[in-house]
Amino acid sequence: MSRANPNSTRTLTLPEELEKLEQSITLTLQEIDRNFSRAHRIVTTSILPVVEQYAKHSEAVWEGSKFWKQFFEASANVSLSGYEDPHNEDHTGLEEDAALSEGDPSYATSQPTRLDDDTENDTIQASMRRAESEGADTDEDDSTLLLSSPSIGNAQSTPRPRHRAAGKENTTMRDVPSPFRKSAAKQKTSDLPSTPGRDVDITASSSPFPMSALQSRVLFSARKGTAHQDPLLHRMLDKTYRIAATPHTARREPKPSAVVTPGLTTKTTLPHWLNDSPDSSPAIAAPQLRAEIFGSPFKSNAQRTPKPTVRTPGVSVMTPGTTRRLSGRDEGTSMRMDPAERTATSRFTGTAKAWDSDSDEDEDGLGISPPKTMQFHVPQSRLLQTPAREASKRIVEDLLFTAGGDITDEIEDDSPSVVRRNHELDDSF
Amino acid sequence: MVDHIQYFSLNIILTHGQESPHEHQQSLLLSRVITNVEKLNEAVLALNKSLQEINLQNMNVELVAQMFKNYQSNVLFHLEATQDLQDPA
Repeated sequence: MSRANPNSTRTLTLPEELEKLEQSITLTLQEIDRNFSRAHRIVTTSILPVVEQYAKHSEAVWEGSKFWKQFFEASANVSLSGYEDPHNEDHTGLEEDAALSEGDPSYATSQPTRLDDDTENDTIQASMRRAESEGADTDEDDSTLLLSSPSIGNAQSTPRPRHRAAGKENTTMRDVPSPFRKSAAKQKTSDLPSTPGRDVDITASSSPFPMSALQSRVLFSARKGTAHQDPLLHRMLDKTYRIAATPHTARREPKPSAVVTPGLTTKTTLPHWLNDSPDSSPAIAAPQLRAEIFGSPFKSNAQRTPKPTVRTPGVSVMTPGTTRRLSGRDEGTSMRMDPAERTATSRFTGTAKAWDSDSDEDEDGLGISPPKTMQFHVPQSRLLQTPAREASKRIVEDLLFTAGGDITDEIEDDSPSVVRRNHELDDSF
Repeated sequence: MVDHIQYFSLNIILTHGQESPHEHQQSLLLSRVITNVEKLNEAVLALNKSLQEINLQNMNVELVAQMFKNYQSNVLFHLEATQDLQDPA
């Protein structure tokens, strides 16, 4: 009997404890089920409709601003697109949201050029940014919250493998390096009128965005040590967005016809992006005086007929193709302005090209000739032997007089650089 | 004593040998949980996709906004350089 009592208490206690544990497990599972159902209900009934509504409104906003994006892109002769930065070295391995969302086909279609190069597809999985790791931390916190109740550990096993698998699947989507450099190189070899120094600062100056803000963002980012070609656009909680500026290819090169050519605003042909919205045309106004001053009648008449031009406002100093534009404009204005103003703007004309036969090729390619500072290749001694000096002096005098400028005194000094090479001069040779 | 031990052993064998009602219920509950988690996962995936699209659109809008901002600064610079800047009416 002395042994029977402990045995009987054990046989009674164990089933009780077992029963108690089973009930506890059941209750916990019910609670888990209830919580998941509640979460699903909240997501589907509360969050998703709001997000869809938000998407609708964002779509409307984008529709409204799409034209202006095309406008600026056409004016800068680049194609801008924000993309998600695939290179984030300090990723910790959990890439739930980014990996899943980056599989969005819309993202891929919006970046067609970036799909050309996917050499690093397999390496990206380890690359995530710290913000993403922060997001992963929050996920882990959530997991720990879920795991705070006992016997819930099984619940987490379902989504995790899917996330990782999805992350692997989507590596091809997001680990596409920007073709910006390559495009810049292409642009370098294109037959666009090249401006000295353009290729050097194309990365910094091609973006139409204020570099100061971008640089500040880059500095603000923790990963400034990792050099990246593209400027940083956005850094969200778990994603880094950068700007890919792809210079337009030869197909779009006729667009530089919108490049500033002063005095040719009487042309009727507009760039195609202006044809869509005639409302934007009033912003295009150009002084007509400059061409009359700086183009010799012979030259300007030759140019005028086949080459319609519209001056594009908002030409960004930092956009590719703008350098040429800017230099052209400043060349024009520097000739028009007073000497003081000319010196003020002369710092922008450092890229002026010498007049040579290549310019004609540029004109053929673009259909337009930006104003150039005419420089004589004729030696001064030879020039003095020809009647061109007298003729050119007279022409410039007349033109300046017509323009209202009373700088005839300066003509003596300026004539060699002001006078264009004209047919009279050519005849002398 | 031997009888007690045999009874105890038999009791344990019976208890663990047959499927307890709790286990059945728990397996049902687990399947429900798994189903709910899958639904929730799909919902979150849809949510993420929507948010991704929205972010993409908003990024373009942000690009436009920055371009406008830069354009404004360029215009200001140009007008100041050419001394054509006039006070607002």
